[in-house]
Amino acid sequence: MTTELINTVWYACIYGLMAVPLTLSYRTSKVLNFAHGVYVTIGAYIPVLIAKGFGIKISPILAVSASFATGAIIAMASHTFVFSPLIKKKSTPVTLMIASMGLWIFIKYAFYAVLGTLQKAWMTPIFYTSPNLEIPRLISFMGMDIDAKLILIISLTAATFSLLAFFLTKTKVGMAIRAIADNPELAQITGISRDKTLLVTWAISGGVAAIGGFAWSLFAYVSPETGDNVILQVFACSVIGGLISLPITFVGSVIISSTENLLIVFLNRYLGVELSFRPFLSFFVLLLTILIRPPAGAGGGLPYRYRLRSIFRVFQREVKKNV
Amino acid sequence: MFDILSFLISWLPLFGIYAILSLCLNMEVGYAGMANFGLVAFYGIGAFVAGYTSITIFLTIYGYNYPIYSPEAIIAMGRVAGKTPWLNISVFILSLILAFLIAGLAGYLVSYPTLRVGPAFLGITILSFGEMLRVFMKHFAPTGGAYGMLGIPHPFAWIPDSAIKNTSFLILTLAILIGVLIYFELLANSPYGRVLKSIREDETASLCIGKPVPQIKARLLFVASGISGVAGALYAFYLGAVTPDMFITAVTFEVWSMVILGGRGNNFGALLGASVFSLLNRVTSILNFLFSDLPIDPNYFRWMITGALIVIILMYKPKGIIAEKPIKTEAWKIFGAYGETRRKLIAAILRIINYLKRAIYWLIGRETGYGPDIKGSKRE
Repeated sequence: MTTELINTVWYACIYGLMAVPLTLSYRTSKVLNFAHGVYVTIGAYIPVLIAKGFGIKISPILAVSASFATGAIIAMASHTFVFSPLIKKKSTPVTLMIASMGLWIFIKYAFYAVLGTLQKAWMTPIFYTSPNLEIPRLISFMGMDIDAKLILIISLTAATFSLLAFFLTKTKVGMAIRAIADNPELAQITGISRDKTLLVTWAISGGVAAIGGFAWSLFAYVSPETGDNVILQVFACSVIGGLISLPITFVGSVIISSTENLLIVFLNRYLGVELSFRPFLSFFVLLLTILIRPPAGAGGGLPYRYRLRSIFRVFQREVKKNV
Repeated sequence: MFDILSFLISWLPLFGIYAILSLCLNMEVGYAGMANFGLVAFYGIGAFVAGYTSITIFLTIYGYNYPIYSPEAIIAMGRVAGKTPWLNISVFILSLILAFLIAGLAGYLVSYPTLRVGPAFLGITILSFGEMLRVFMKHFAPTGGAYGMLGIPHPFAWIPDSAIKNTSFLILTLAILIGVLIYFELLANSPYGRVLKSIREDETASLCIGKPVPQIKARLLFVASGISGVAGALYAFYLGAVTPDMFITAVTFEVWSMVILGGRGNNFGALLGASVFSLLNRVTSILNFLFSDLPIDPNYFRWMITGALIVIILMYKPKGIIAEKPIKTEAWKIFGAYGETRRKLIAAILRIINYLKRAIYWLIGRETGYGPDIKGSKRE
């Protein structure tokens, strides 16, 4: 049971680190970024590449900052070269989505090509590795021996989110980001440059996603498919947040990680459900969110009534008549 | 000569399958404006349904009791596949129908929760649906798990000559493609197609006119998913094997890039895109086969080209190679079409007269007053 609890905490932190920047970038720029998984993958790989390239043990602080910088640079480049020209041409949200998808494919396979070349040049296996970190294995805390990596992940998540909250609520740039997210026209009238603000937003979202990738690499092997393997769950977390609210997105990541790690074990033990049904559970949570709490208008859609609701209303009317 | 023929035999079935897929996606994206990022789910469902039904029917009829993914079953299928022509053909037709129905039903069910929210949520949900199905099939024992199913009986396995066998499969695929193309052309030029275009342009407006937008979208998703299921079934019979890892998300994006390259909202554009990208696919696999010691895998290059092309086309030529054309309504056929041809004809005749006039004037040596050859004329 302890293993499952630890896994829940770990996955909650990772999904939070990946899903919150996705929500932030969607809310600010109205681009649903499918290339998000690539930022995660690259962020996971950068410490590995540094450690292998120089043949050193890498310290966590250096690893985090290198990941953040790389993710931020790639996200800023994708904004400058792809999204910004398309937004200036007044493209529809669907067009932006397709563009992000093309970007995803391009960066992913370019990265594959780079890794393949490096593997041949360095003569070391690079496709399934983990970074060589300079940290102790166990830390004794109040008389207990705790895995140092778990503490590292939890403190990393807490630090990132508190910094992000401070940045978004207290600094001028953060307030500009929120203004652009709420009403771009009004914000531009007050003198905020939309393009520059979006650039900062992309830097933050790419960087935080890359930190999420680094957090993933602490416990599991890194492969070029890392980002794509978790993207389903990350999207589910963001949908629970309605693609609008950052705190609810984090709550969503806790929900998804506990369904994946705790609920499936309960179902397996008491109802005999196979463990291979795990992806169904997160998809089921996603569908349930859309059905129960339809994010009307947030994704640019129409608030159509669901048939369930209208049935419920008819039922209410009948009850009133009879009473 | 022989090489070109064998290349065509290996390329054209793939082209047919991808063309059917891109026609379906074009119906959804180009006409109705639905961002379907999970096309590969329905494609995969069709392939798995076809493989499962055909192998199960063969094994039951010939009285084998092996599970369908076991090596004994594969050997038995190899022994049995070419024995009875009528069984091969009828199993083929039956599995195409089943693939259509089951994939279409899956599309209809997925449409219920997703069509009422915006395009972003639709994209996320269908993409997740495809990925989830793939991960599930990798762990699902009755269809062979990650190894999938082997030994799917070819519909023409009873023909001994392999060239004739492959050619007849190719003709069958192209016939199905032509049928699908005619059906979609009729659908696109019908009143239903016009409603779809109105939904794409402005959902609220068409809802206000009284069109049941979610229902119309759901019906379209049923038909298009079902036909992509048929394409999946054809792919399963073409390869003779199905594994979950053939249906990764990148396949969806390949089909998307076909539709975008050819031009959204145009069936012939989808065909053009499909021919270009399936050719690219074949060429890279041949390169991979010939030069196995390349420093970088050519497949990576193919995907990089695909991704870069999507972005470049969206930025510089968002309408694609063949732009969208007006719908052929009855009124357009009477007034628009013939009026346009008449106008073009008159313009051509006038242009010819103009050239003749200029030539004559040039011969006489008189100034015409227009044209590029006169300098210092009255207009300046």
